[in-house]
Amino acid sequence: MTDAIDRRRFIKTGVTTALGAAVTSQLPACSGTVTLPSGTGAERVYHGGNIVTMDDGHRHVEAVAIAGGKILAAGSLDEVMQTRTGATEVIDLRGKTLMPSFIDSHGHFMNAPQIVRWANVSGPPVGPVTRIADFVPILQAHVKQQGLKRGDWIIGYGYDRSNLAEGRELLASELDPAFPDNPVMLIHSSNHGAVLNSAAFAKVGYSEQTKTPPGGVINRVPGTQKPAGFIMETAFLPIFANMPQPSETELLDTLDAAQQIYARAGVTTCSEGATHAKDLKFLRKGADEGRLYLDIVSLPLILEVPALIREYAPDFKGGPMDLPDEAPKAFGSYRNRLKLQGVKAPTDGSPQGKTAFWTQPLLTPGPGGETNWRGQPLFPPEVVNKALKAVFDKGIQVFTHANGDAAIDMIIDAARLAGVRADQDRRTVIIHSQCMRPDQLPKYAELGFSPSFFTMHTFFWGEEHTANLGPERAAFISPMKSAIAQGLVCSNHTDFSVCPMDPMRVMWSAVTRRSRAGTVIGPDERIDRWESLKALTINAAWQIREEDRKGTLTPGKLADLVILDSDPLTVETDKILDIQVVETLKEGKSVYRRTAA
Amino acid sequence: MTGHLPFTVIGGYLGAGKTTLLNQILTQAAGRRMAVLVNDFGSVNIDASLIRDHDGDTIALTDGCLCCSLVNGFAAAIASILARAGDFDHVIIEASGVADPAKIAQYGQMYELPLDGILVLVDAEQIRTQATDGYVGDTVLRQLAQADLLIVNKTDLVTTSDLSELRGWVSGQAPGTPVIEARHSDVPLEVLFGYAHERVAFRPAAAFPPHPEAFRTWTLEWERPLSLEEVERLASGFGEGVYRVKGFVALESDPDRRQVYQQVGARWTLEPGESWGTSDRRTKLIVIGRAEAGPDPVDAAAAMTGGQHDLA
Ligand SMILES: [Zn+2]
Repeated sequence: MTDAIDRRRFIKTGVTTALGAAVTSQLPACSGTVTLPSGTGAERVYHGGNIVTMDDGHRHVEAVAIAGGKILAAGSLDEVMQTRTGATEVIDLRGKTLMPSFIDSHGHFMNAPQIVRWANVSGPPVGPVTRIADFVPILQAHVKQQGLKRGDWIIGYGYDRSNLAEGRELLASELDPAFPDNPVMLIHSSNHGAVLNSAAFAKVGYSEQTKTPPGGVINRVPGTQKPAGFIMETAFLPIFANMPQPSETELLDTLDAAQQIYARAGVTTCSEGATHAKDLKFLRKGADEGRLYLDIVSLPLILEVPALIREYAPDFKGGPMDLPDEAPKAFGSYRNRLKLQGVKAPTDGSPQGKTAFWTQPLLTPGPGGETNWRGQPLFPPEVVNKALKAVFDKGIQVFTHANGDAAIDMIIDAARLAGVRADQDRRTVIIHSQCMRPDQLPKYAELGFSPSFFTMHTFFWGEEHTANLGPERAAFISPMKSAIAQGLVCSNHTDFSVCPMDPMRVMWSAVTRRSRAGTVIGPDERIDRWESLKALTINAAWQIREEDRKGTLTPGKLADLVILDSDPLTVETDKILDIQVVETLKEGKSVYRRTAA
Repeated sequence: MTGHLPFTVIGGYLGAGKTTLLNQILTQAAGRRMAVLVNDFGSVNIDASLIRDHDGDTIALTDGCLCCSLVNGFAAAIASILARAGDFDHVIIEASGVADPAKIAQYGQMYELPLDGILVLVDAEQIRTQATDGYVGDTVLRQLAQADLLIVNKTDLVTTSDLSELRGWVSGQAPGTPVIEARHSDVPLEVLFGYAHERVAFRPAAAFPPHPEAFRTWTLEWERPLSLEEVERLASGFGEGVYRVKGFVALESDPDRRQVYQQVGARWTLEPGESWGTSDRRTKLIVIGRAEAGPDPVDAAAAMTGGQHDLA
């Protein structure tokens, strides 16, 4: 099992009650204890390591005690040991790092049940594939692990020719010998194409006779019309859309594996950051069946809110933009670990897909070859203004997706029209805020906006952004340093499964802003390690109004903890990426423990 | 399987009248089974007496039409239509107010649906303002440029002089694209559909919805077969006031088959169709034009080839 951690039990009888009663004084945050009902004490005490509180006042403590799923005490070893009872388990961290577990400030939890059923055929750092010969063994292991039978689809994600030493597309004929009877589909990292084997082509009805649809690609075996393996765009998307879907029971059964994606990364609060009605129904079912052991924060998509909150207002007869008075009741509290926190209002697409909405054109052609392309909003400004006003007026928290500066301008306009001000403490979260302009930062401050940045773009798409936006605009993507200087509370996210669930890589990207090619994208926007960790803990808690229960090691907060094998505040910069999670605890209960190597 | 289900994209900026037009299509389909995919389900305002079944994302009408929400995405909506493709004659997709309708058209073609046409509605009163808007101006202009047919709507809200100036502006934005004018999205269905050349949905003129103000419909007939030159002369003879012509031609040089004639604005096609079978071997065309234009353009064209017309 673990056990880098030394567990010893201290059995002392007769002092329990006295000690329990002795530690009732309320001390300042992060160095103190909370009131205990008489007769109780610490269930567990951690000491002997590097304990990082994530509290600006007291960054480190010697020991932490937990009880009843909460933090009971944090402070000097002497202080904390006063909470010890005969039944207290005392754990020596042996130099490891204990800190608040991470909060996923924006991602798509509903991608997890899907991904756990698929093989990871990405290249480093996301996956293991570097050459053609890697595919068959990885897929064979996946078949075994998933217990797939003859005829079942084998699906992989993250396929990309650019990861392969051979520099060419994988061929159906290279998959056929190992998988003659199973259709195989390896989805391209863009989600716009895939490699299929012959069984898969037969299954979807692609043959020599299939014409390539307009806007599509079907690679052919040289000298023939036989599909070679790789297909793209309009030749792929309809096939993908019509793939057989797993049953609800099958999906419910993946919830454990789905949560493990988070738990093994040290994350105990997951974001479902764009929830459709059917997804919410599924999550509610999973929650009510007791399948969730991590917290899930769901943001229903704005267009579906009236349908979603019908249970709170069954007789409501408003139009699509109206909300019933009861609407706010649906938000803000957990039921069986699932919480609706606010409404998600998407306003544009993605910068790497060139579907974001900018004020100034890109330096490169648009996705359809357009010149002077500056993207498009998803909705007309009139619609955004009206829809957001309805949500603001009801006091429901707004989370918008906005990547381009023009999309951000639209949100700023809408908030101003709705009379939004910083002193109202609405905590409007602008997810991504990727291509901000400097003049938008003071407007965020004026309106009380809080950005959830996505600094991993500097690594994964740094070169693309420089080409599309030019070096000056690219240097200001996810401008975390400037936002903090403006006094804004910033979180930082993975947008899982757009990027892997890897908080240490998020931190590293905020600290280094280094691209795949090694260029620093916007050196002035690099931030220090402490701030980069706050963006993954206390600031993320604040954005979902849980700063009183999560994000720091403060007595009274939940014992949501992560133990890391080294200290992210002091290891060599590039070693941040190698930091391993030793154990993750949700409310004091272990939800992941690294097995000994 | 899906190759014979033509689809039409209806685009245009917010407020141009897309929903009104969709409502008309749904309630006036008269025997043509339409599957209509809409963005904003709540705004489709169908007479309750016409609704056979309302089930989550779809509303089934008593006449075989179906209205389906795009809320779960294009792929899901189109998949549910294609699963029962035989139940429909035509698919109509409402593009969102800021979408490029040509992109929506490309999606449809991914599913091997033949594109019937891109119709773009224009708000006569607002379009000039919209076209200069900082957020959406470029989008609005792209929509105009992508249309196969522009419908300048809400003409009752502008003065005659503004309208004539607008005509010039619109044709400058989309040179060569046929433009029709309408109030309250009131456009005969015959003008909207049938751009696809694979088949013609032909209905007797008497079934046309009433639209006394803006449009007028004629039926032209010839007893004898026409030569190709006569057809060419006829096609170029319809004046500016004619929006749409469709029907069958009996061609001298190909007596066994009927020829499918299609015209929108100045663009026309003639393609071989099926054999005449037992039907009457005579040329019969339905012409739709602007009422204000009077009978002249049709008279003139008909006279050139000895045709007769009735005012329908
Ligand atoms: Zn996202």
